Formats: sequence, structure tokens, C-alpha cells
Amino acid sequence: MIGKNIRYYRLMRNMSLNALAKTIGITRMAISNYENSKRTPDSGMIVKIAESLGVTVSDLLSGRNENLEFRHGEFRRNTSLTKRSQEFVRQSVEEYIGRFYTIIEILGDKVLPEFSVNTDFESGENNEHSALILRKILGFPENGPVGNLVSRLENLGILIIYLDIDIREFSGLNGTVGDRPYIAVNADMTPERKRFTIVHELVHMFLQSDQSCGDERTCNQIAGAFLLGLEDALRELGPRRTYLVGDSILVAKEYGISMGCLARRARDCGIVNQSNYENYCRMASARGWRKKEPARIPEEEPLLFRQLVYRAVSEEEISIRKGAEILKVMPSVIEKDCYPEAV
Amino acid sequence: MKYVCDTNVFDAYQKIDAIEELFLLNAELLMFNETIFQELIDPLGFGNELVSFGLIPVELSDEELILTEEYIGRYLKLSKHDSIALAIAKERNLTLLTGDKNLRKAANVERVSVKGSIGVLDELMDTGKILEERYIDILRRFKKSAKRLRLPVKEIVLRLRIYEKQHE
Repeated sequence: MIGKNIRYYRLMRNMSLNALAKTIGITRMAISNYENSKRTPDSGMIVKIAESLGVTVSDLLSGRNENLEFRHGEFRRNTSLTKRSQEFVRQSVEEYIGRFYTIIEILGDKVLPEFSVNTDFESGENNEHSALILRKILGFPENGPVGNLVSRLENLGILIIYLDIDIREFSGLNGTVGDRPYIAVNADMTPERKRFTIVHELVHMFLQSDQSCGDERTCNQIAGAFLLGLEDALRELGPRRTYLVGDSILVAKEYGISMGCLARRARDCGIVNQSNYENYCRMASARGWRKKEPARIPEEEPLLFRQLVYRAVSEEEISIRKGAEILKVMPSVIEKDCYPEAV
Repeated sequence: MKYVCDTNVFDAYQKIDAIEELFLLNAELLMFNETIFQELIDPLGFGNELVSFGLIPVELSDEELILTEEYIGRYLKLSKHDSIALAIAKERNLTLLTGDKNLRKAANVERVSVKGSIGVLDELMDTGKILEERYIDILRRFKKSAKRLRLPVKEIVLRLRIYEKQHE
């Protein structure tokens, strides 16, 4: 438990084994042994490690579920994430899911929707078709906006995690814990970008066995087609146009996608030509949208984790402080929601 | 005499504006220093205020640290600060002050003696540290906030009835 926490906080501080060892005045091997639970540091050493990492001793004592088996997806080959950042993302996912499974163990695993999506299928003849297949297997209608994506996926038994980590280059990762799939996305993205990233990861998860769906560009195209299908794009935007703003912004809002995504879809569906698409890109650059497009839709918050913790608090299975510890929030936040009359 | 405290008892007495009464006990009150300064922060400076009243911050020994790790793994429903308080009480053979149901259960399993929020109040009354009027006043406040503070309403009502009968 302590070993995993040392690694987690060391990676959070973006410190190498050497750097931490040097700060404390011990060898790199000693830190490595602590992290891999080959040796246990005594209380004096734990205090030194905590001080060097800028955390408390009790942070290093945080419970970690040692029984969970993780399989993390690969980061894309040309990712700008350093190896250490990649490891931190994986550790953050494990830390989050560890807390999530604490409440599952307390309430019993029946509180989790069973994951029963049939994954035994082939991708379509083209990206539009693959997107349609993906919609079908996840139980979305063939046409129209997909609505609250996060809620739907949580109800299918897929864990959706918004990772609050300070790594701009990270957008998403998928994997499994036991037999249950998870999708982790950077919490610091707009709701539209989170939705797109989630679908991108779904494509990796469900269609990646097919070689044609392995590359990032194809995954992005299928994700775009999933969120705004061909028929919908033609109906909403018209078969041919030259300019994308005005009503297009409302369409983007309706389908929960960014204008950047909508413009690429309009181009891929042949609604705008390359030249008009480039005109849009220039306009988007001038408005600063290509670096940071404004959010236009409300956040789709994963609710399952918080809901289960609140249930355990309300049913007096756990204390408010335990609930706060699991969710990593102040006790007053839980108190306000679970005992509003007392605040 | 020394008692090891969890946060729950302080929360309860703070919510009903009776925190100073806790320090009238004929005992030193101990708590892990990080629990005081990291957990008791609402209202702001609450931990510092408790120290100024006499709460004694303590460090964890190697044995207490190992025991804490053990308890965190064994008692899932306990917060880590609950596990720390239990480990200190166990290692130092002291009574644990807590109103938390799960911590009481774990303490019973570990054969650690426990005193709850009402038990503390009884002790204050029995040792003459508070007057009967204040005792009743605190009981009534506890009753009013019993759900939020997760206090045993039956126990409170029982005490209030005894008092009422005596004054009929």
C-alpha cells in the first residue's frame, strides 16, 4: 500500500527515482524496493519520504486495493507524453479505480451494472458503417444526437473516469479492471472534447482488433461519424454549403460536438469542399478556437461513483469523513448534499 | 488518564457548541498530529483551536504505523484517520473516544475500550465537571441533531426521561 502511494506521488511530482533518492539521502534501489513493496520503510523514513514529496504521512497510508487486475491500453505511438507521464496516468487510473472499488466492496458488487455488451463483431465496410455498428452494439439509435453519453455508458457497465491531472498532453486512455472496461479522460477538457475522446476510446476498445481501425485518424473519423452520422449531417447542415458558423454552432450544440469536429464532419461528408473547410479553419484560428474552443454544452458528469458513496453515507454504512476520503472531497461537500437540513 | 480521540467526537461537540466541555474531562486527549491539522479544518483553524484547549498532538511509532496499515486493509469502512486512532489506542492500551459505529465495532474486535459522545457527557456529569442544567441542555442539543450526528436517540431520550421523572 505505502509502496504504491510513494510511486503515485513521486510520479505526480514528476520526480525520477534518482531525484527522490537524492533528496532523502538514500539509494535509488532503496526507493525502488519501497515502491515495489520489497521493503517497508520505518516511520522515520516515511516522514522523510512524505516531506520530500510534499505530502502527509496519512497520504502515503491511503488504502490501495491490491486485488484489482488492470490491463491498460496503449498510448498512441507518436504521443508527446513522456514515459513518466504515461506511467502517472496509469497510476492515477489505478488510484481512482481503487477508491471506486472500495465503495463497491462496501455495498456489494450488485450495485454495478453488469457489463454485457457483445464485443464479438467486425467493423463496417467504411467509417460511417463502423460508426453505425458501434451505435447499434451500444444501444444508441441509428440517427439523431446520442444524448447523455456518459450516463448511457455508465449504465452499460463501462467505468467513465474524469482524471484531474495536470498533464495537458493527455486526453484519453482505455483499459479494463478485471473484465470491466474503463475509459479515462482528462478532466480539464471541454465537455465536447471529453465526449469526442470517450467515443474515440470506445472505437479503440471495440474495433481495435480490426487493423483498419487501429490508427488514430481512422478512430477520429469513426468517432466523428458516431456523434454526427452522415444522414444527420446532411439533414441538419444541408447537402452543400460554403460557410460554417451561425446555424452550424446550434447543430454542434445539439449533437454535443465541437465546431472543429463539425467542420471535419462536414468535409468528410462532402458538405463543404476542402477550400471552404480551410476557410473555416482560418476563421477558427483567428477566434482562438483551434487552441481552445469555448464549451457550449453542459458537463456530463460521471455520477455513479458519487451516487454510490452518497448511498453508503445516507444508509450510515460509512461516515461522512470516510465518504469524503473515498471521493477526495471536503466532508462539508458531502454533508451539504446528504444532510442539507443540518447545514 | 489518557484518551485517544477520533474526529467524530469533536465534530459532534462542535456542532452543538459544547467543544470546551470536552476539555473538562479528567483526562489528556490525544490525537495524531496530521489528523488535527489536516482533517479538523472546518471551521477554519478548528484543529489549532482544539490544541489551544489542550488537545495533544502525537506522532505514530513504527508499530502504530504497521498496525494502521493492517487496519486499513482489514476494516474497509473505516477512514484512514479512524484506523490511525484505533492503532494508537491499541498500541498504547488507551480508551478510544469515538461516536462512529464502524470504529466502535472495529475497536470491540480489537479489544480496545471505547467511550462515545454520550458516555463522555455522562462522565462529565458524574465527575461534577458540568452542572445538571448544562447536561440536560447538551442532551437536548444532541437530540435535535441526532440524525446528522448519528447519535443513539434512544440513549438520549432515556436520559432525558430519567431527568424529567426526577423533577416531576
